[in-house]
Parts: sequence; structure tokens; C-alpha cells
Amino acid sequence: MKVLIYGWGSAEHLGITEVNDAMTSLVNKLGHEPVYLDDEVVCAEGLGALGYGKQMREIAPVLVKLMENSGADVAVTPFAASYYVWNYTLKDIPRKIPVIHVVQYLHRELSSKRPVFREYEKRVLIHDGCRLGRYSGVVKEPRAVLKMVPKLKLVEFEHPDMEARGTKPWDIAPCPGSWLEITMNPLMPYVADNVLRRDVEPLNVDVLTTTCANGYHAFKAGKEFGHRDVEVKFIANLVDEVLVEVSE
Amino acid sequence: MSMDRIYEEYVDRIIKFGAENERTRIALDRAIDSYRKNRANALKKFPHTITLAEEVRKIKEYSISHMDELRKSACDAIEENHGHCYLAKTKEQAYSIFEDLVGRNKTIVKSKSLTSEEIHLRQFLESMGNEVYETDLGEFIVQLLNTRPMHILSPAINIPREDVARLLSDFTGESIPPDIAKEVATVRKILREKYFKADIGINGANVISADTGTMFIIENEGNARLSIGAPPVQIALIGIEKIVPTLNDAFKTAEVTWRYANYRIPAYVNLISGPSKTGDIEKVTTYGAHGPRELHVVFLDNGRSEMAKHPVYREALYCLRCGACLYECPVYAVTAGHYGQQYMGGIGTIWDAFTTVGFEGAAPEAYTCLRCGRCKVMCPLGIDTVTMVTQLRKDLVSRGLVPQPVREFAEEILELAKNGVR
Repeated sequence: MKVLIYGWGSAEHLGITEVNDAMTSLVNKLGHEPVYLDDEVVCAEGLGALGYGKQMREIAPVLVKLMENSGADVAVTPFAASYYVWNYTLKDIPRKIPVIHVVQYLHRELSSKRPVFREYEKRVLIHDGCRLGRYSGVVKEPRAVLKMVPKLKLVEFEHPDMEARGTKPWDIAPCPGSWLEITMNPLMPYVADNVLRRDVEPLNVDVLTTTCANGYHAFKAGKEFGHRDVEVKFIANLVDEVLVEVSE
Repeated sequence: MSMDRIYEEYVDRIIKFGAENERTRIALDRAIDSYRKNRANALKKFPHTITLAEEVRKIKEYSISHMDELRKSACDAIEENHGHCYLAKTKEQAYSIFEDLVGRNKTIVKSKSLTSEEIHLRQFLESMGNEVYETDLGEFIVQLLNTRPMHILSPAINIPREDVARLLSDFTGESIPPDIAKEVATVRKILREKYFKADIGINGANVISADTGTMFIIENEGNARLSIGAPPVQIALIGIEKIVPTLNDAFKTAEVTWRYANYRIPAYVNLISGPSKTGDIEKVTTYGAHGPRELHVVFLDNGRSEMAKHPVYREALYCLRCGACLYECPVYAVTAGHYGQQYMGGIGTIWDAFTTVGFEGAAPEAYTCLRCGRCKVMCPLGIDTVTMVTQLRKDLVSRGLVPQPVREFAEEILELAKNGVR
């Protein structure tokens, strides 16, 4: 199977090339062939969020053509927003290639195969990207994948409202402000650092892992800005780190 | 001022006075933790509030669709109750009504009202030579600081006790320690005499019923009941979106408001339908017994009707102003009310666009929102602020009012799509 790693250029643009490395490595470990776009309109799915929805819709067929020309069977993205845009906002745009999020890809492949993981004796807090968790309900897959890792202690965000109104961790997961990179750049590290300080540090975890590459970018900036000790990892990077091999 | 200059000034302000201000962070931390815990406790004790909120959403949907009709009914009821009712379509009309009613050189005590902040009513009355005292403790602090409220319900949420102590020490000339109880006692002492010296009391309202003309004023401090009850004249300034059809609807709306504002039950809920009266002597109704002999209710439109006409923006008018969304916003947690021009946070952006600074002025706020949607989860009425902010961004694009960094980013992508792709 050919797997298009979709969002490669966006990850490069954000300076998180390690996400691309992990995505490629995982696709290889899972016995698939990674493919890439010949050319890419970086961050194109961001246009709608910025108020350029009409323009995004106009260029969508160009993006579809790019994806289909890659010869891939499926496009896998690390970005929650990309997943959301293709599966909700632009779902009416004809395309032959499905766009799924990397956590869905990992869940599907690892559940149907025999993965071997290294032990990971750490407390890991899971952060659901807003567009993936709150908006799209893709919440079981990342948890199921992390639960496959031996000795990994999965930790969830806490909020008094969870007991009072039954809200779930993905309902209350705090956004580190990744879009501020574009809209109000100087503010982003303050917001991300504050989320790490207020919402993450009290949970006493070793690692924060997020399902959104854009969120990862913001958390990384916040960690650096605030000199926070907690390790910050995009979920694909964490899984790649512990996944030794996969057999059928 | 150009769009880009407005944006630059806004970013400077939000960083300098919000994000970089460690004292703001300290005060917000304390307030957010306390709020979340108290709200959860209130909802656990009164779980019916969650379904009641769904009912209130329907009440608000109906009310916003019938604002003009309800305003007329409310005015009829107020007049029947021997009050006087006015409609101010704009800020200027509101000023004119207040100028006629208040005049000059009066002493005024005022309770907390975001609607009055919207039109800078205190500043207008002061410019007319009146002496105006904000009587809500937080608002009083804001007045002394000569700044603006930083939260819907807790105007001085960004000021820690240590700073309040310094402020009150400067004001009184005495040494006030950073002890909250002592700070409260100091303000009580300062304001106590003002209520009974005042010529006029001014208030807002959380909700008002059209059938009886009864306004609900929720409070804990007791300042509202004093500023409403002690002066001989009461003037209420109320947004037309606060009107609901019936007294029963108003009770439901008030309960949801205070519960989500983190109170199991507030200390006071003031219900006012007319001026003070007595029939104790020969059953002859006489106005101006112990409370005000005059009641004037000024309904303010100021862009609300325009908001109501729009299929997306109208949802902002459902807002109960409980403040829940602000306590959950990751940006607000570092910037307080500097995230905003006059109103605050994501929903405040829509209010600012329609009632205070226009679309151009609200553009920087529109691009402060993360569109993360946690506000919707926490809102009792499930108000979809993200969709409204996205609509506002679309409108800003079509009006050519997008701030420079966003504009350049978008242009770059569009250029790539046009030329760069094989």
C-alpha cells in the first residue's frame, strides 16, 4: 500500500521536521510505501480558519489533483485541522483518495497486526487536538494505540466540570494556541507555556503527547519559552520511538 | 487609524499588559481555580440546572426573534407600574436620554453593568459634571485605576490583593494591608455614605420579563440593592436582548445565569417592577415610600437589532454573561480582558464588532481566538462562538480588514496555489 504523508511541507514550514521523520519511519515499519507530493501548497487547509473559506474551496481541486497524482492509496496527515477540513468542510469536493489522521492509521494497522513495543515506563498525558477530538470525535484510536505500549501509564486531563457535567478529557483539553503562530505570533509561547504550567504540570507526568502536529509545534515553543521540564512529543514520534517491529 | 495600526496597538497592549504581566497571571490563576471548583460544586448540588439551561436556550432563541415585540410589551408593563420607559437606538440617543434625566452636578451611585460600560456611561455622566461612584467592589477598583473591567463578572479579576491594598492605601491615605477582608471593609466604609447622599442610582439588569416589566439584578455584595433602593431616583440601562416573555422565563434565566456564574445561590436577587409605593394609609397608592419615587428604564439597542438579523451572529445575543467561557479560554488565562476592546474573549469579539468598535476595531480580537471551541463546551447555552468568529473573519476578508500578518500568509498560500503548483 502506498501511503501519502500529507502535510510534509506544513511540518517543514513549522520547523517540526521530526514529525515527518516519524511518519516516514512508521509507514516503513508497517510495511507500506511512503510517498510524497511532487509539490505542495503549504498550510492550504489553514485558509478556511482564517476567513478565506471561499478561496480554500477554490483551490481544493488543485490539492485533490496533487494527492491523486501521487499514486497513493491513502493520505495520512499528522494535522488535526487537515483531517477536519477534508472530512467535514470539504467533504463534498470529489476525490478518490481518503484523508485520515495518523492516529487512525496507526490504530487500524497496529490492531490488525502483531506489533512489538519497547517498554515505556513513563506517565504520559494525552492531549487531543481540538479539531480531532472535540470536533471530530476521533478519541478512541489514540488511546487504544498508547495502551498497547507496555508499562506506559496513560494520564488524562482533569477538570472539575468532568464530574459535575460529565464532560470528557477531549472536551476540556486546552489548546496551546498553535494558530497564533500565524495570527498573533508573539502571543503563542505565552499561551502554550501557561497551558503547560497550569494544566499539565499539576498532573505530574513525564511526557505530554498530542494528537495534533500543530499543537505539538505550540507546546514545543511553550516548553522552550518557559523552560518546562515535561517532555513534549507528537504522538507519532512517541509511537515510532517505542515500536520495534511489526509482523503480520 | 489604519487596520494594521489598530492591530499593532492591540498586540502591543495584549502582550505588555496581559501576557507579560506576572501579576495578572497570579490573580487569574487564583480566580480560575476558585471559579471552576465553585461552579462544579454548584452544578453538583443543583443538577437540574443543566437541563434548565437547555430550556433557557429556547427562551432566548424565541426572545431574540421577538425583541421588538417584547420590548414594547415590557415598556407597556413598566408604564403600567408607574415607571417610565425609553428606547435608545444608539449610544448617542442613550446619552441624550441620560442627559435629560440626570442633568448636571448630581451625585450618582452605580451598580455593575456591562451595558453601561459598552457606552462609557460613567465617563459621559462625569463629563457632565456629575460625581459618579461605581459601587461594585471590583468596579470601584477599576474606577480608581482608571482602566476598564477585565472580566464580565469580576471586573478587577487581574488585580491581586497586594495591588488592591496599595491602591486603597493611596486613596484613603491610610495603610491598608493586603488582607482581603480588610480591603472589603475599607471599600464598604468609603461607599456607605454615598448611597444615602446620592441623587440617583443607576443599574443594569441580568434579565427582564416583558409581561410584568420586572427586572432581575443578581448580586452578592448588596451594593446593587443599596444603590437601587436608597436614592430618590432609579435609572436602569438594559440591553434589549435581556427581555424574555414572562416572569417565569426570567426566573429560569436568572437561575441558570447565577449557577453558571459559580453560585449555588447568590446573596441577593433584586426584583424591581416599579417605583417604591405604599397603600398603607387608606389604601391610597402613594409613590416614593422608602425607595425611589421615580423609576426610569432605558432600553438600549446600539447594534443589537442588526446582530439579531444575522443568522450566525444572532447567537451572541443569547449570552447570559455568566463569564464561564472566559474562565476556560487559554488566551484569556494569560491576558485577562486585554483580549478584547470593550467586551472580552471570543464572544466579546462579536459584541465589540456590533456595539462598540465596529468590524475594523474588532479584527485583532477576531484573530486572537484560537477557535478551539472549549468555550462552547462550557457555555450553559452551548453558544457556538467559533462559528461566529469564523463568520466574522470571512466578513473581514470580504471587507479588506484582515491584519497584515494574516493577510500576507493567506496571499502567499493563494499565490502558491495559483503559480507554484505544477
